[in-house]
Amino acid sequence: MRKLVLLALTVLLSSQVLAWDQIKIDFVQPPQLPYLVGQPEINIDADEFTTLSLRIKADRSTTARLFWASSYDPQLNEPKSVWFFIKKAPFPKEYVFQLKSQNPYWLGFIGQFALLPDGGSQGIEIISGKAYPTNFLTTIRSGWQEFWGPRGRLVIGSTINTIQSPNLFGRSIYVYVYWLIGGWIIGWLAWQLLRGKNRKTIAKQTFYIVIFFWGLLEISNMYSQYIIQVKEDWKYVGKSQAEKLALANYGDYYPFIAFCEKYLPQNSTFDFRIGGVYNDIKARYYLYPRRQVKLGDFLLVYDAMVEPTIEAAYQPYKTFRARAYIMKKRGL
Amino acid sequence: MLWNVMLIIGLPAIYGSIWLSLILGNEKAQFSWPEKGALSIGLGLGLIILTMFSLDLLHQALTFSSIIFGLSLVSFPALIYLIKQKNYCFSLKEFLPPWPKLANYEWLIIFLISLKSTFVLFSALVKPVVDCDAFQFYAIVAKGIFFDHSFSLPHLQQYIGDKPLLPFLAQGWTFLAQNSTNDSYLKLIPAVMFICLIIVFYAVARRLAAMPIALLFAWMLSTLPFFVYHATTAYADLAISFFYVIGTFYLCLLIREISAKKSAVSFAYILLSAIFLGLTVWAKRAGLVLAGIDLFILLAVVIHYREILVKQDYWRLATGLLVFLLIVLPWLMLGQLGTLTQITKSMITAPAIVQGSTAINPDNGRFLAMISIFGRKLFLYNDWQLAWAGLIIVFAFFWRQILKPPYSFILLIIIIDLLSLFVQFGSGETFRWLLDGTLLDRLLLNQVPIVLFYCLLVIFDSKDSWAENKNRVV
Repeated sequence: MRKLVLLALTVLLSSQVLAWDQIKIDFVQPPQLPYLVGQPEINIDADEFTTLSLRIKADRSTTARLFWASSYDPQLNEPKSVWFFIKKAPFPKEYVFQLKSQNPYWLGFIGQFALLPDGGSQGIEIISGKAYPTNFLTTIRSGWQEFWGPRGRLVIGSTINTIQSPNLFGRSIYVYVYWLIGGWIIGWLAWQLLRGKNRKTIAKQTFYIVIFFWGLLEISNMYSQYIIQVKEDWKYVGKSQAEKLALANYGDYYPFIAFCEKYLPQNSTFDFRIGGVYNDIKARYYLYPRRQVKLGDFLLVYDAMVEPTIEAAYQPYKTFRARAYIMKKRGL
Repeated sequence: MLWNVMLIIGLPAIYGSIWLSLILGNEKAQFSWPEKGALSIGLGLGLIILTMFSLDLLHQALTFSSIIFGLSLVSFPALIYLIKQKNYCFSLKEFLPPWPKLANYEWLIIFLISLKSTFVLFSALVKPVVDCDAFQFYAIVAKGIFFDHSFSLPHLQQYIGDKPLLPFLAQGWTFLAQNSTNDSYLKLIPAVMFICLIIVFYAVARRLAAMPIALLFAWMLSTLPFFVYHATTAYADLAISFFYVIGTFYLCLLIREISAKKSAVSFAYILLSAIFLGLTVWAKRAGLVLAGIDLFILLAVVIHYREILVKQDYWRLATGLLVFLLIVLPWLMLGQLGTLTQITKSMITAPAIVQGSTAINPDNGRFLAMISIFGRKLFLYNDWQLAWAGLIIVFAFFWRQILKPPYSFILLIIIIDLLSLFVQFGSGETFRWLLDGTLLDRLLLNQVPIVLFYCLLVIFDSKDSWAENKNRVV
């Protein structure tokens, strides 16, 4: 019986059953590029075909952004995109996006897609893709996927300034919560007032409702913190401080810093030409008490160009790897 | 690890408890041991910062031993006095059974708060500093203090600028106490501040409401995502919230007590409020404005209740003011008097005030943009959960009550705090920070715990229950 119910549910949840029409999208992997490109068999009318489904096989979990180009804006850019989690699975998993509700730029005729997984497209394969009109079940699936998606859950640079809320059908989850609380106040409490209940008691009841929703939202936060973030931070557990610093930086940046620490005398001065976001700030911090000054005793070069006039003032000193090396001031 | 935690937090807490004993005096029975523990940590950190500042001012090298020596020197007379009076704020009896019996749901709430605290500690301590502003400003000065034993060297001053010193010195203390530059520990102090703030919030709430309600509100505070996030970073925002919110809580209790006055006002509340508000000024530039708002409200309260206050109350309040000034003036006079003039100037010359309200004139696009951004940040982002919605519900149901003292005074703190943000963002310089979303939420971090406290106060407190509740300690 249980198996039958499961089978029925699977069949019901399969968007193909209730979809009346669909447009196939073929995705290919361009050589040497970190994204997959999708071409629909005909241009998709965004008004009619509001939902997109991708069957993705992935050998790692990651986040990815799905872009599209429309007749109004043929560029692939961030406003016309959705961000979602790809989960590692030995079999293809279906991801459903009701794009009409999730993004206001699902407009006009859609002629191209691109999927950009974070960390490149290696190990990510789109088995099939299709666009179709929405139905109740795909709406629920898409909403569920959107709500538990990366928005407001992953710690990103701007989290220090603000934490976004998870969205549901393109709107903050709080919009729905306020409607529910408002409904409660208008309905139940009006009835209570008619029955002559004390205002303070009613206020307390309302506040308990707020606390109830607070609890529900907290479950969502607990998922972000206890599951996603702890999982992300777990890589640091049991590591030495040097290993942690290497993990906290991209590529071989921290090993390069450790290399510089080894060869730059304490209290020496250095200048740098360092590529990568915030890496220059980090060099100042990591290498202290060595101080960064313009045209210092040493020049640290890490994946960046050095102006010929500056280079002329220094001579090669130690090499970490190609494009990552230390130069020493001539005559020092 | 435990040894490092003991040195970074335990040592300040021990010194803090000595001074807390002096502050609480005979009122110590009104404070539970967790509350006293949390306050000891806050006071101890404040003492460390003031000691480090004084040592540097006297051109003494900032080392672990010099700081401990300085702390011991200033705490020794207090310790002798306490031994003579046998009035240490903690007693073994407090930790022994019988412990209060809790219902299952109360245990559940405590479990949830503990879980969140564990998450904060884990997330803070497991990894090195990863946020760029923490490298760029605070942590590099902390390294300077560790290696050069001073923060006033010119190459470090370029990072400090006119920023108050508490975050720099607290991080410097962290390196000195563990005798290494393991920067995972730089986030220990914010994480501990988070836990202490929840404890103090509960203790203060417990004076007004039944245990389940106080616990529930403490849990609500512990779940604010933005608050949790900042407890795991090495920024200055949680530090200012910690000191300001605790100072304001005791000020609220003081206001509440004055309104229900039956005997002399609590000296402990006055002193705690004065000290924590004073330390707010050391945490971030905005501290000066926040502490000023609280003092302004206290002045209004004193004027309003002048007929029921007695001479002793005035003396106590004057002593509190003196303590506040003693803490604040060294920073303002010897540190950055410019901060005061700069803030005053920016407030006075904000286009809103000077140019006939061109900036926040309701007809102006900027005003609408501000309203829109404030609305979205307060209600639609995940930073504050439903805290602001709770305040709206309080307004809707208690609109008569909130206009009456003492509720009106506490509401005024929130409103003036928000208005000060409005004026600040109305000026040309900071408006872009509102638009790019980099500042507003961090400034609101100071108000939201007070908003929660205010909701609790209005909904669950009643004037009659106040007198009988004020001595609740658990």
